[in-house]
Amino acid sequence: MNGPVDVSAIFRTLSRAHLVQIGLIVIGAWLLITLSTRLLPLLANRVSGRFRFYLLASVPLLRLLVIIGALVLTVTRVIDPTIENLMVSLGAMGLALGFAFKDYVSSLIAGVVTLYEAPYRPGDWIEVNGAYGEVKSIDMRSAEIVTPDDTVVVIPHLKLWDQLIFNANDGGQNLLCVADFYLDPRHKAAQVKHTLHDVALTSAFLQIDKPINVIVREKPWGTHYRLKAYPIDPRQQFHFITDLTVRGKAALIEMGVEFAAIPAVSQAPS
Amino acid sequence: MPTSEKEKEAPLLWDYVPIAEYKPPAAPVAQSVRERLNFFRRLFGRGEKEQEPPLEGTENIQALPDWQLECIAPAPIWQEPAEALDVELKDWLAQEKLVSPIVAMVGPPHNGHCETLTTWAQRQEWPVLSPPTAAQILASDDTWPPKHIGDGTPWVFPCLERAYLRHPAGLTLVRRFLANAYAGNLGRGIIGCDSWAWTFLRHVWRGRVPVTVTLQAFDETRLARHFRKLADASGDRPLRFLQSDDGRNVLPPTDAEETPGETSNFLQLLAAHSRGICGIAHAIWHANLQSELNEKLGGKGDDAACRIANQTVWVTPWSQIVHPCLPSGAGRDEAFVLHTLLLHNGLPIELMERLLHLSPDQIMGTLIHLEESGLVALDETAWQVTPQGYPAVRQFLQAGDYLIDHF
Repeated sequence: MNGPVDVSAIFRTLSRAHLVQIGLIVIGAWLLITLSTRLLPLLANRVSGRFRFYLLASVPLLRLLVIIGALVLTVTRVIDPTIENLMVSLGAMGLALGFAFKDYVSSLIAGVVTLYEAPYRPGDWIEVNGAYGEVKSIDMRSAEIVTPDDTVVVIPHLKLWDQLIFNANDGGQNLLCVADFYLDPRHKAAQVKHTLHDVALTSAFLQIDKPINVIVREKPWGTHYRLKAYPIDPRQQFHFITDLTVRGKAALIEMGVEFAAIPAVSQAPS
Repeated sequence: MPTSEKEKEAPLLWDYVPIAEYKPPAAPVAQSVRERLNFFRRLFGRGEKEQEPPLEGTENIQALPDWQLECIAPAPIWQEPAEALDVELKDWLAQEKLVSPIVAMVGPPHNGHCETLTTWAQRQEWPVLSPPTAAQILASDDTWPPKHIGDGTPWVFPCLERAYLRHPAGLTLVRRFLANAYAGNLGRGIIGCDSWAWTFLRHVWRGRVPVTVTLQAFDETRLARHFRKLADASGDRPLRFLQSDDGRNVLPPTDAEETPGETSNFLQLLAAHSRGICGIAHAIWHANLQSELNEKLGGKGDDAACRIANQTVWVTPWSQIVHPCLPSGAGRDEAFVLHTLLLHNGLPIELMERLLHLSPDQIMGTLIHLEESGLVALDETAWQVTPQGYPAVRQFLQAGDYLIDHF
């Protein structure tokens, strides 16, 4: 039976040259990560369409590759890279981290899973726990989104395990927008549906190859129209909805259609 | 090879083909690589490579005066394409029982589809249907087209792009017209349409696609023949067109020339850049013809006005031509304005204000900005994308995933 392993024995004696090499590896990795984090989003903002999404999505992936590369290079300088040595050192490290930084490590692991499963990527519009915005960056531990009101929300990747994540465009350009219209029920619905369809069809923001749908639903207070269409650029979703609403209202007023007025709530009997 | 045999083998200069057979000219590989490199340069904010300084000896070269340009490179006469259209439509015209009452002729901007069809209608003595006014379009006026259209007389409507507006109230009239026309209610007719409007209208009106013809793209060979033909009409002796940096021929030398020399790839680049659109190639050609400064050119009104000393016209080398490009920072407003102009083949500013969600000030500011870059110009009352600016504008809109034409 083997006796207890002396953990210190697996480490190499570090010479000054080794330390310099490790230092250079760390600095090189840091430089590469900083450059890719700054440069790629800059480039992405200069292009549009699918290319923008590819550039943004490559940022966290590049960072992961650089970190893995740097780790491999560093570990081989610190220990003899045999299977036994690796198992012992990883086991010891896992035990220490598991107790001390459970949530932090969980977020880091979720961050790696995020890159593989891609529930969100930079450029996606997501909603987590009621916060809706565009994913600006994905770090190792968390993702940053910017809401339409220009507020940065930091979402730990940990949320991936137990929260619902709503992704509106899922790594692509197709983000469905909905403009609502509430009309008095006394009107020709087919004509209104047709007009609203043309309102979307003539919008300068429209991605014309995607379908336009008008959903009509009768409610106790009137008729609810939902005009659904896709903008060319997901970043223009709020302008697009505004455009649909403004021009839709103008077209409906031109047609002589009345808008629904919610009747005053009757007083509850005392 | 005798000239007659050469002509027999050469493709027709004005050739109308079904839309599926349209082939835009390809750019040489080196040029495609250069354009890709320029794209990446712009991405990193470095813009175009600086122009090389003119070569020695070219400082004596100056642009030709307008009147002389009009002799050497006059605007196309639409009689010839109209004759070519006659040939393409011969079978359809001969049909007594029509399979399709309508033929559509679609062409990219600056390709002269409207002028050609108007000329063709005059030759055939067919009435030309005038476009509705903006007020008629927005009111979907049912007095347009007039009642006499459909009484059995064939008709021509050369500019379908003038029959709609990208506005919720601007589509009913064109839908009704197309439905009536294709149902045969208006009799036999020919509809001309700009390619951008045609692409948009295919989303507006989902009816059966009619027989659609288009003018085949002007490749290098066609451009050479076209420019040679225009130039030869200006005098009794053929002119030589030489590149001003290295003296290579731009147009292939004629049989009469004693020392033919090497031919540059200027026309191949021009054909690819202009996407085979005759009007765009012509505008670039027209703007880059030059002559030597010390030559005694004939005066205006002179009998020999069109004669050029030494019979040599210098052409600016392709690498030295400055093409209009989108101003730095061009974004959504520029894209909306340019896209709207192309979808309607030009618009007055009052109508643009109705079609775009931008304020009048924003529209005017954007137009002025684009005009300074040489991308748009005011043509009488309507703003248009310029022929020289069209390739850059199309590329810009394509990169932004806007709806573009198929030409």
